[in-house]
Amino acid sequence: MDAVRMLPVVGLFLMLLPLMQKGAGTAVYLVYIFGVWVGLIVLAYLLSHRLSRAIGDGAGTPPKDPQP
Amino acid sequence: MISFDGLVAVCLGYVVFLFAIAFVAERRASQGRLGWLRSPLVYTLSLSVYCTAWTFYGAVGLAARSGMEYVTIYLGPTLVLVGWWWLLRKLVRIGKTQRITSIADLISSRYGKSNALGVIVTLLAVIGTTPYIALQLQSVTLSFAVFAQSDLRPWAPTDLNATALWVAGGLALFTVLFGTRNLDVNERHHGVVTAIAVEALVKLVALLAVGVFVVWGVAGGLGPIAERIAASPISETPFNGGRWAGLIFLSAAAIITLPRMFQVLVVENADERHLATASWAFPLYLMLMSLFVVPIAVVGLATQPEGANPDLFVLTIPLSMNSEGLAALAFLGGFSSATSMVIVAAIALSTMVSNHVVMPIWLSIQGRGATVSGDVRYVLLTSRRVSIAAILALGYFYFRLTGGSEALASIGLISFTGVAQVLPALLGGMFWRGATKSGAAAGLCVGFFLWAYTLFLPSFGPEGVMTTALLETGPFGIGWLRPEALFWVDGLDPLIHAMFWSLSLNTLAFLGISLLGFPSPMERLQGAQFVNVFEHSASARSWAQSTAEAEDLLMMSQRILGSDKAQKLFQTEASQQGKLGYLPDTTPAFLQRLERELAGSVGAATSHAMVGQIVGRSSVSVEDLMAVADETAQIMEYSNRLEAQSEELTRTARQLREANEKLTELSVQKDAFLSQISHELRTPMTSIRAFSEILMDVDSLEEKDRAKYSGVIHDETLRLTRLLDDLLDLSVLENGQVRLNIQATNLQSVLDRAISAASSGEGPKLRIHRNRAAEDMVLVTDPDRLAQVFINLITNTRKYCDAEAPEMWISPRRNDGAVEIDFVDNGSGIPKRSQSIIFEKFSRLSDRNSAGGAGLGLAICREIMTNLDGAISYLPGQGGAAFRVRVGLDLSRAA
Repeated sequence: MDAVRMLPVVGLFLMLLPLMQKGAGTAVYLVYIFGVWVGLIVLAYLLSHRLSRAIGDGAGTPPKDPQP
Repeated sequence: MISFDGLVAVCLGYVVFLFAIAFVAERRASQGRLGWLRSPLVYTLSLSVYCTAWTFYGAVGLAARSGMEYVTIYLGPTLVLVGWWWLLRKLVRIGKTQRITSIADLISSRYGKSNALGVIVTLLAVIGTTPYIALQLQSVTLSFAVFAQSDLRPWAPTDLNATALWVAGGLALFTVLFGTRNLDVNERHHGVVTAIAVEALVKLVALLAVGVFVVWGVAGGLGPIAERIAASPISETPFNGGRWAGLIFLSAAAIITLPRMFQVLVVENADERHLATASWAFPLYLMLMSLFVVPIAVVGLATQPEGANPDLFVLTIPLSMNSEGLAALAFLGGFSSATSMVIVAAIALSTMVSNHVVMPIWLSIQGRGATVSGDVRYVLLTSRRVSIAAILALGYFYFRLTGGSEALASIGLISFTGVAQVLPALLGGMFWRGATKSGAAAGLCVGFFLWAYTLFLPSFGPEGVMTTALLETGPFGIGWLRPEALFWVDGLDPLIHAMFWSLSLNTLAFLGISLLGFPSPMERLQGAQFVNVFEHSASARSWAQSTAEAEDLLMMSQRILGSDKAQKLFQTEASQQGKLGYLPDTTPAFLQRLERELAGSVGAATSHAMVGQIVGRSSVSVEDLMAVADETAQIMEYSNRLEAQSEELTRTARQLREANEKLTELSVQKDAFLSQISHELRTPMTSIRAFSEILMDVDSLEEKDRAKYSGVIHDETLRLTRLLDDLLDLSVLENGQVRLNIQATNLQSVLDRAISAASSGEGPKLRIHRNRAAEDMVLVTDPDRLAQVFINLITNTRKYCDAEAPEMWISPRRNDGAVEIDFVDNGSGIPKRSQSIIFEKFSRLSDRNSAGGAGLGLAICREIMTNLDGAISYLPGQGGAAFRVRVGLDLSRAA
């Protein structure tokens, strides 16, 4: 669960990295950004599977029809 | 070349296809076969309303103008989705527990159900979204124009305006048809969502197809395209760091605060677990959508003539290469992006407008209290339909006014910045309990004003709304108030400048005013429930135990939820409390639950006001506030456990008390009946004995007297027999030994028979209103027994109805595989304390007409209906005495 909380932070950091670097061509940025993107998607996929199993087991399961 | 007519035909065919999809989905949903309609895949695809025509066409244009920047529009949402565990999960949970209908509803509900805030957010959303809708109309007409230029026969410009009008009209029709079919308690629209999921596939496939065509068809593979990218002018566009970071932030904010995104993300969400799938699948979708954008832009710049609009490369490249099929597919992709955005935005906005503007005004005009306010559902649906039409008309006029100017092209990001003003109030409300209503209002107003002043109004260009002088030297020559260089901050990109000032001052105002003020009890309560939504699954209460009449509440709920749903809700609640019938105790828990149910239809603020009108006051007691305070959390937990136990005890005690009361009452009744029945048996017996003695003893009796006396004896024995027959009938029915004569019969003929039988004989005249068309249905049941029940109900009304001119309404209808026939009269009804015992044996409400019988009629009715696999019940809150008879349509199948 902490891993999934870290994911957007890491993602933002990696996405803002091009700010530090000047001079590389658009094609390089393009490959870099799409690489980060695919990495995020794969990690999110793996984590979401573990998490939805955790949710399914009843830890923090949402009530079907919430009672007041 | 594709002709104009050909293109219109493709368009129409596609629209018919969408209507069919939406229709089938609605049908399946109404039959309860949700299946794949609720799959996480459909949910993910429906999120793609984020990708409008502005991103479908405009991303390529943006890439051609400023290189990599287009990708930020997709990176922000990716981060939000990937971090769903932080924010989206909480948002969706809050949306579900509080039955939120729109983003305006969320803000209004969080800050003490304040309608003023709801109005501000609604206003902001309408102003921010209307130009965006205009942009979609423009993109459709522009794409038509591309085909026009390549056509041999030039089209008149009026064709384009007419196109926009037709598109707007068609979209309004679709949205009204599928967006306002019913007032779902959950505000879910299965038809619309499914159609949008299909459109999402169409636009993805279209863009990918164009991309593949460009890379492998035109450029000749991955290697050559990389060389082309390196050689193209795009490679030399400078990298603007401020805009890069700013746009990532802005698009991340937009995915939560755009009304249409809130609608699909939170309101239409059926299951929290779908978020887990969307967390990777939606970023994947976005990634695929942006994958080929740069290649398309590069190839477009290289192959298209100088001065060609890069926004339309997706269409013009295939057209210029003579791939008309691909161009038509790309056109449909753009068309899908535009239509899905407009449909969802119109639904979301119309919900806000009708719940936060129309309903409160309408309620205050009515002014006579919620109980007598007519059919609210009709008003609500009408107002939604009118708002949808009005919003689209507004979009169309905006399009005509700006005439496809440059101003429109940049409206996407301007709109993002506008709706992002909700962000501080939204996040503050979700994570900070100290946030107050006045803080949120101040923040929203400051942000709204600054956005309009620094970005929205200047976007109309010099001499648009603001004069050139105002733009260059500031109002009254005050330099530091210049709209595009506030506080001497000059040289920034106008968008970043506006975003920075509006959002930072918005946040400051929100925090500052919140810290200075003090939240009201209602705000604290709602605040605690929002911030601690995961801990507070059982929420604190906002209603004190009240003396509100359950019957009044039922009457009001029937008008909003419809009678079936309202009656079911009340019945369920009553049975949970261990009571029979339709009227539960008005406990705080029940009032809160009712309020939430109503909020699903009319929004939190309105529903709170309506319940408040009946209950009298919305009081929050000291105990409730203690539940909110942190310091008492431990005491709270302990007392919660105690409370749960004592609640259990109270419920059992109530059940016992009720059972006891019933037993006592029954026993008193039985005693009374025994004495009565002995009396009733004795009276005829006495006269029989007396007259038979006379007949025996007196010899010299005249023939006339003899006949008279034996006649009396005969009558009295008949009366005895009838009484005994009734008792026998009842005991046979009770033991289930009755032989039923099951056959197919028409309800109308059963009613005809019952009414003619019940109307014979003397007694007051009863006018009966029937609905012959509705009665015409076939039942498989025992017609004689059913007629017996009807006769009993009608004769009872004839005997006991105390109206000046007694009238009765008989209204049958189908419901869940059964028929419900309501018998309602115009008398004063049955007093509440007697409602629970009228079906008991020997119960008689009055002695007014003691010839009536021994009080067995309704008891027999109940037993008959049980044997016929149906039910009979008293229906409170209908004006007079009302009974509902429920019969299964086919008894032979049920048995």
